Amino acid sequence: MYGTTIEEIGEIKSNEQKLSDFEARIARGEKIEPGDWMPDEYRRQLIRMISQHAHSEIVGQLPEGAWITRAPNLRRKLILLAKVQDEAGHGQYLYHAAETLGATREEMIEALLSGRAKYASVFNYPTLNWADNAAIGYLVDGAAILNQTMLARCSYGPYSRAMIRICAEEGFHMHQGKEMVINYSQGTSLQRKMIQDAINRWWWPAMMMFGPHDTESTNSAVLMRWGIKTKTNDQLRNTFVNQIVPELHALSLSIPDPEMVYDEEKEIWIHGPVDWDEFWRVVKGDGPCNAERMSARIRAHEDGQWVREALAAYVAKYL
Amino acid sequence: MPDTQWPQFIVFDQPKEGKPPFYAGAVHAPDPEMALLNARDVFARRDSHVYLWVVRESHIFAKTAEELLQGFSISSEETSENPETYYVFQKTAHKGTLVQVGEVEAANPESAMAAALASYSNPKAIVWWVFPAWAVHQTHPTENKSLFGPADDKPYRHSSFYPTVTLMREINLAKEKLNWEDE
Repeated sequence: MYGTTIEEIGEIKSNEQKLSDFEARIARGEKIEPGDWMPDEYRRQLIRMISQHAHSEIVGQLPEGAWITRAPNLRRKLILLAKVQDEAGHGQYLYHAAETLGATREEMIEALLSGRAKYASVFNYPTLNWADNAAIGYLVDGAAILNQTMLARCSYGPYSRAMIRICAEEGFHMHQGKEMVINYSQGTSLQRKMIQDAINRWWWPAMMMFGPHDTESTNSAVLMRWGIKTKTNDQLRNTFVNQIVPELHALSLSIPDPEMVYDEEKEIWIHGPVDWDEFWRVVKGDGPCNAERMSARIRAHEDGQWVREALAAYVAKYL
Repeated sequence: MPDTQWPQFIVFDQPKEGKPPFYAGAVHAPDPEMALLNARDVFARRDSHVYLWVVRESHIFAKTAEELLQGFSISSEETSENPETYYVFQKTAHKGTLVQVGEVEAANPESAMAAALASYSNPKAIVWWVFPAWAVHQTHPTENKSLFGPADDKPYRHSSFYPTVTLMREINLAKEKLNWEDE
């Protein structure tokens, strides 16, 4: 795209003027688009967030993907295939959104495979049983949708539009999990035991998905100021608790949080303390499946090497 | 790492017959054919589509309303060239996207922009794009079924397929009934 030169603009605006124009645009609810002026820190934060989000979608295929061959029936197998395929597609949407900010695919993949980039720590937990797919859909996708619905309103156009497409497609991810949670909770005693066990293991990892406590979240202030996030980690976490807890109670399932209390006055559930030591341990690479997830990604990347080489050879020959 | 960030192609999507194409986003690809395949994976995984276009980013002549206030020059020697068709796109709302409003005949991008401003004047327009028709690479209608069919036919993709609301309501009603009987 071309058409703008400094001579045509006539004057070079000062950085302070550009920053105040930029913030005024965000305050008016305008979307910032790829060619627009933006502060370096806005660009850096978005690349960090969007690429982390992309990595999470891609790594997120692994826990459930492991169960495709072991689905209990054809219907469940097709649903799981459709869901895991969506996660791959969503990873693509997000890598493209990050590329509009000048990040290259190579840099992002290299950051993931070298361990520098983070991804959602929840995917470093193992799927031990079929019912784990139910708990993931219900809790993990349920938590993700709250975060993504907020990001669909974010100030950066390409990220916002990618999130709108992702939210529209992901609705069924949560509902297929919830359907299983409901069915198993109303099923045989063995099924009830299986789903309760899965909820027990996935509850806290899902709670941690919203990120550190507000007072510990170093990026939140700048993300809120520039309209990338509009709700804090704790606000989203509390919304999640109050959405899920009454449903689990209705299904006669328990929540593995003995310190959870109901505030009669405010009519809300208040969760007990989150084990943040565990959260940081898993984020920093020491979760149950970090090494397994990374080795699966590295293997996939190496197995795809010939495709990249073929494309590079084609480009060299014809372009 | 080798820089394999291929040229950028801008993607346009015609969602329905009779509706104009709109600007959907961008992909990187070594050539237009790969760009169309990438565009399909990133911008057409759901819903219906009549066609996708990809246009090399460098072929698009763009102006914002703010830049147009400064004016732009049209080189006079080029205006004598043979005119060709340029497509005209406009964005009229900050939360919206660029949509095709028509086409003009012009000898170069600057004259095309001037002709577009004259023919499709709109006080609400905040961004204008023009590009020559020859720069467009389009999906072929005979490929629509293989490109867009899988998205339309993807099984179990709607939330409405899962009766969770009804199931929860029935469970809650049964519980209420039990409570009522206890009392």
